[in-house]
Amino acid sequence: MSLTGTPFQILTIAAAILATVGAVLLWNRVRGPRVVRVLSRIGLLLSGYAVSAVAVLVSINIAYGGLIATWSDLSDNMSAHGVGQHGGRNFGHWRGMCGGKFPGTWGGGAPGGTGRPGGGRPAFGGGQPGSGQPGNHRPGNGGPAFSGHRPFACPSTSATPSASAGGTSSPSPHGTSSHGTPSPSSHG
Amino acid sequence: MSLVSMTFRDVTIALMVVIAVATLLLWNRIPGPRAVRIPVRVGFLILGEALATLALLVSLNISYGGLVVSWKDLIGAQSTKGAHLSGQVGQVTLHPVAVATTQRLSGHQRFTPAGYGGFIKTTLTGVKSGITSQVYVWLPSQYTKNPHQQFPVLELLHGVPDSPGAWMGPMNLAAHMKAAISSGTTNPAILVVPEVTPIANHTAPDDNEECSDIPGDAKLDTWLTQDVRQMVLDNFRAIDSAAGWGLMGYSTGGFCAAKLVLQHPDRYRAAVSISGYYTPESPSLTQDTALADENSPQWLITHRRTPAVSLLMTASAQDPIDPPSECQQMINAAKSAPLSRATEVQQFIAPYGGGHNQTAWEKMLPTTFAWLSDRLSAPVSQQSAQQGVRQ
Repeated sequence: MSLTGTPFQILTIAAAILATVGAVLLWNRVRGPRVVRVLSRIGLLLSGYAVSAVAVLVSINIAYGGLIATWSDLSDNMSAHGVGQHGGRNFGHWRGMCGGKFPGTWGGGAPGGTGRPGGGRPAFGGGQPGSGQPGNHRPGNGGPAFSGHRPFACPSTSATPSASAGGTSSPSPHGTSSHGTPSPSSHG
Repeated sequence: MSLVSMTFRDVTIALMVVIAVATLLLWNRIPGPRAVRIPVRVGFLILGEALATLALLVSLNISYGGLVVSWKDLIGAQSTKGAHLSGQVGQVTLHPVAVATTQRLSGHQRFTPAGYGGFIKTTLTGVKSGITSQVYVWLPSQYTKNPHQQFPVLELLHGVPDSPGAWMGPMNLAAHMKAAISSGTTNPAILVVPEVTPIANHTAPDDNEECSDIPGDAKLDTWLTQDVRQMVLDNFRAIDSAAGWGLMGYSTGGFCAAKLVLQHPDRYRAAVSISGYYTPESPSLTQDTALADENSPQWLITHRRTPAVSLLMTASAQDPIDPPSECQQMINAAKSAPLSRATEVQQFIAPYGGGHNQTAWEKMLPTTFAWLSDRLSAPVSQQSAQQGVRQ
């Protein structure tokens, strides 16, 4: 059964519903001493949580066109750089650049609206192509346009990116280059 | 509260625990008739399941370095507003397209509908790489309307972990291409979406080939730039010369596009890297310094005489994984390296471009299609192609 196929998606959703209904039906039918009953109920509860989360993850994976496309990809991605390792050791290489802070330049007042109805649509949800008119950003034909370029800047830290360093050819001091330093990356 | 803050993650986990405990304690203490008690119990369960799922998604998002960085990002409100091109212009000229009589190598492939609007797919066994995997192709409507024309080709490279489906599904590649063609910003082009990680157990960020030929291992460069390319030439009316071929990729695919256009100017004229990076990251490459260097756009642009090809790097100011500074480093390197004067190296930084996700990258497509179209050959009639004259 394919990881990104409809049958598997339906199976996971059915399992989530079944786990929920099962918890309702079985809650007061578990037998044994109090400790066993409580543990059984915790088991019912947590298996429902787990199965539901799996159903959502599978659906998101499918909606995104198959981030993890096959079972083999799944085991490879889990074993090669398990999520725990990601969380514990590697945070994307911007961590070295911004001291662990996300560059939050999208603050409340940012004029981030697209101004293009139909353009702003979350990828997952699978609506029709949000291409109301995606074609009005034609760049100039190769002309240099340097005015007002704002290099990436870390929010409120002293770590200035090398944008102004005038042509550093060596690996940057911020850890974006990692020759000979095998480290799990978080690239998509 | 920020979507990627530890506080938000902890709040979702705490709420989940509270609901779980409440469910355990209150299950048999809910007052009212049975018709009320049952729905309340179901409500408790579903609320807990929703919170558990949310906590997991928030944790995953944070642990991957922030794929979706804000609520605006989540609802798809990224834009290219305020972004503009900058960089080094280079000496790229569009030479007349000389198309040799195509020599069929891989032969005819069988294509079947791919399940994504308009795309067809085939299973290709690469003659030179030996790799067998899927390749997806989309033909513009002009392809059938003008049966005597040869068309430019865009080869599209997905990220890692990911699959060709991302280009065709959530990023709506074909819909954007159609819109760009009909709005006149982009010449009709054939879209080719190959599998970038076709080798089993080499599909994770830290074990894939990053589109390179790894001695003693897989030949991903050969697969992408020779086998897939030749298959397209053998089966479609595609322009043979480099002037008709462009590369575009996101994230790891962006790294690949930047690298491959610098390595193979005889096959590709232009490339776009959407939120890519420019030094190899997979240990498959980095454990061998020489191999890593020869496959590093940053190293190549600094140390080698790079060809008269065009490279556009896009980035979003909010993307924590591949921030705009990586593009700037490439441009700085290009400007300071005398040997890379011929190469056009440009960046397009979106102040409100969103995080490291497909919805954000989709917003870049109109810009990148137009940019590529400006640098690649338009469709040529086969007659004039044989005379080596660009139409």
